[in-house]
Amino acid sequence: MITAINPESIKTSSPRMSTSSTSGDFSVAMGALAPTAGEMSTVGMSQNGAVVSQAAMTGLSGAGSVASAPYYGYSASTVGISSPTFGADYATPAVGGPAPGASGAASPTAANGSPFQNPSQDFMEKDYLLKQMNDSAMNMLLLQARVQDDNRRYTLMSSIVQARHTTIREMIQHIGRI
Amino acid sequence: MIPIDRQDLVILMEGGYIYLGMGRLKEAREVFEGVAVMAPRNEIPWVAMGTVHFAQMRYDQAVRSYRQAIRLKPESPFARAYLGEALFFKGREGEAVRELEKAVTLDPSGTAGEFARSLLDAIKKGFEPPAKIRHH
Repeated sequence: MITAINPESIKTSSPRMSTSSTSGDFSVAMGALAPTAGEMSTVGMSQNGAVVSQAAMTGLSGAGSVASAPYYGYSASTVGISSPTFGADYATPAVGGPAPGASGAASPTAANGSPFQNPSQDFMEKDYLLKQMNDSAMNMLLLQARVQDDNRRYTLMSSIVQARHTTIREMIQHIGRI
Repeated sequence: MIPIDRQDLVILMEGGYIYLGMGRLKEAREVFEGVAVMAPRNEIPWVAMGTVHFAQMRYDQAVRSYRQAIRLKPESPFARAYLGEALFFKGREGEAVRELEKAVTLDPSGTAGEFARSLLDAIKKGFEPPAKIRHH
């Protein structure tokens, strides 16, 4: 038996993950992407899995040396007092428009209780669903591109910080040499 | 002047950097200042003090420390490389590139040259320090 899908219920109840970060720093972006345990549990992941996922993503931000703190976007003076906040606006790009007929009027239901009164409305609703799916896919692609860009930036920064650390070690050994 | 064994200076400097890694910046600076007194003709403690200021995003003070190191030893690739780094984070890219190129010239195959090269490479690829901390 085929059950009709009410797009209005999907729109309001599906879990949404909006990411936000004030910095282009990869580690900050990863922290912003890290799902909360609550969000993951709504899509069926266990609490332990959600906590591990979040820790894995946010842990990237704390791995840098204090000496190289400015590369990660914060002052060493704040280490141990407050960690960088994964703040506000790394918003996923807005792709897609309002649902057809979403002007506030309630969808009329048929006498037998199904959400669709006639085939043309059924078609419109399905078309809307397909459009939503395409928009979600496009959002994911754009987000993926942004994450890859941040990954490249993070790799670049990591090589600099690594060279910096090696230089410090050699410099210490140079002290006192003629 | 009390003669200090070079190895003792190395241990003191390593202790200072351990303090820096722990985030105990005041202690780190004190250690480096002490080493600067014990080895007044050595530029390394001044470079180390500069890195402490850099970690706190005090780029003006970092630049001053690095310039003091350069006054003690103009051909120090470490001082030039870190000076270039601090100038870059201050937003003075032109001067930063010049100092980094000098560091590469002074130490083409060593770690200071490698660090300067990696930063130059990043700058050419458009790397910018996080905007909110660029000018200090």
